Amino acid sequence: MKYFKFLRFDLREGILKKYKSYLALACLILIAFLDIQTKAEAVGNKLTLGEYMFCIYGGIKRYVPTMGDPFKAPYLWLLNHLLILYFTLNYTPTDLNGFGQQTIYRSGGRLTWWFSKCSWQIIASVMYYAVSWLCLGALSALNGISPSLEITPTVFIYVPPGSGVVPFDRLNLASELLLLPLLTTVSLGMLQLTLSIIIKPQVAYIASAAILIMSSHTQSPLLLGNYAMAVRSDRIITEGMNASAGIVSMIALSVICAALGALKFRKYDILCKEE
Amino acid sequence: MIRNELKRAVFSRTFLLALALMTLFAVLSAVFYIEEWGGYNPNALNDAISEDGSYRFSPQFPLYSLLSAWLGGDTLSLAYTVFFALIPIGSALPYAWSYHTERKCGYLKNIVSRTTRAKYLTAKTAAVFTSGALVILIPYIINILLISAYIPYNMPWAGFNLYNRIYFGTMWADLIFTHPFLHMFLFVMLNVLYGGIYALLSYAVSFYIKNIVAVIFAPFVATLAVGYSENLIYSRYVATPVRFELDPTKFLHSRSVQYMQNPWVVLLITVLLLGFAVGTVYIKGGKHEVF
Repeated sequence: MKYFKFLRFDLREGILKKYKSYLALACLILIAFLDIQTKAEAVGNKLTLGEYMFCIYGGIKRYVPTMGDPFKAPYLWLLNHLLILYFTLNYTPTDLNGFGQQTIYRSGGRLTWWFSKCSWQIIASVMYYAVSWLCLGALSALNGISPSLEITPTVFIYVPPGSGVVPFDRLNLASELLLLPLLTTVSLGMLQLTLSIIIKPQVAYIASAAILIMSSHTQSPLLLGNYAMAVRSDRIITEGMNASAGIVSMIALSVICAALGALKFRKYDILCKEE
Repeated sequence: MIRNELKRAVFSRTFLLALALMTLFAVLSAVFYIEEWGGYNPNALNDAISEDGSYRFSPQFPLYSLLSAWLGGDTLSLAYTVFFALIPIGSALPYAWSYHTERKCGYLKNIVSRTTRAKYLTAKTAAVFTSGALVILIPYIINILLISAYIPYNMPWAGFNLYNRIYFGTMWADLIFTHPFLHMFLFVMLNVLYGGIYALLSYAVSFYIKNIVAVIFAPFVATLAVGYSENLIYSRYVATPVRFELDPTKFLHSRSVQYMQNPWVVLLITVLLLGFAVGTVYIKGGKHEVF
């Protein structure tokens, strides 16, 4: 029961009252949509909703360091993840330095508080994606775009896949476009939440930013961001990332972070917190 | 006052943390090049580049020299990518948040009742700028010293500009072919200046946002937004084939990693950012409610 009270409070304070951040993300999606639409119309292409999503969540092709060809960061992909992680970074430490401290004393449920924060982190990330998807869905409906999540090789004009493309005519990338970017943000959010308790929120955000930037530069299963790039999926390129492995590793990371955080928080000094 | 602020800015755990973070990537970049290009066997290198006892010139050699391997000339490693991306965070981390904390804990009340606000703001601005600048300068020095210990210097050849990534007309392009070390020095100084500017921007943001984490990371997120916007602007509105770099973390690189660096654009952006930061500090800081 206590858990639900905590969670209800977190949903109100950490999601409803942060509506401006959802609007900011919706603006980013709107700008990205209009940009892709202009590019598609310029060459007479009619993209599906899946192809729009591929342009936004697709990421960037595997980078092969070559003299004269410096790495170019996938800003839209980075912004999508780092904005959500930025918006969710400070809620827990702020709550712990204020109202949260009181609720922990009075309820005596430290672990309940912690698991409520973990649930909030997951729900908040899901909500940010839900807003993005709703925004994309509404824009597609308004512009008469097919709601199919299938992509065709035409989309490679906008997000080139590099070498070793698996031949296909049409491909349904629902898990790579919907589930994996969301799971990446959730697992990095959980890592960030745990690090912000164990070390500091500043270090936690630097870790998230570094993981995502390194993921965009180097293709490796150890860099989780790679799973969130549909263009590096093994269904698109021969030496790509496997979605199942990504799902398992991201769920494992989230569970480990929640458990580590719970262990740390049981004996955490909540009184001596300063910025 | 300035001495006290400088001491607090530089002899702090956050300064060490930021310095360690930036130095880590500067050293990793150096290690990457030393591993790839470092002459493990000087005799073999000598044999490869000499003929009948005298050196023969190959246009390939200048590409694999100190000037392409130092952090500002690196266009290949993962470490340089992260280093440049993290410049806004690394610079802000040491001391940019201090005004926010001093106001919140009441320290500021004690200061402004003992000295003038202008003196306090000047000392704080100097300390914030210096801490941000040092966090960028020291990793550069370590990187250049490490690289120069293993990888020889060779005058770059203008014919290989596609690989050099120094286009004709880009900022200080002529200097690299005449005075390459001056070119290197100017870019290091530009980076150091931006270390200070990013720290000041975070400091300025603390007059608008009452959240320490948001204060530190706001310039980083804004820089990402600029990086995305410049591609958007160029693809939608600017048809010209000559495109100038607007994102500071990219024009700080001595090579054109995406678009060309134009000195006037760099100057304009620098003046605007510096003007915003210093203007906010003195105008908002002068009126800010302390008591």
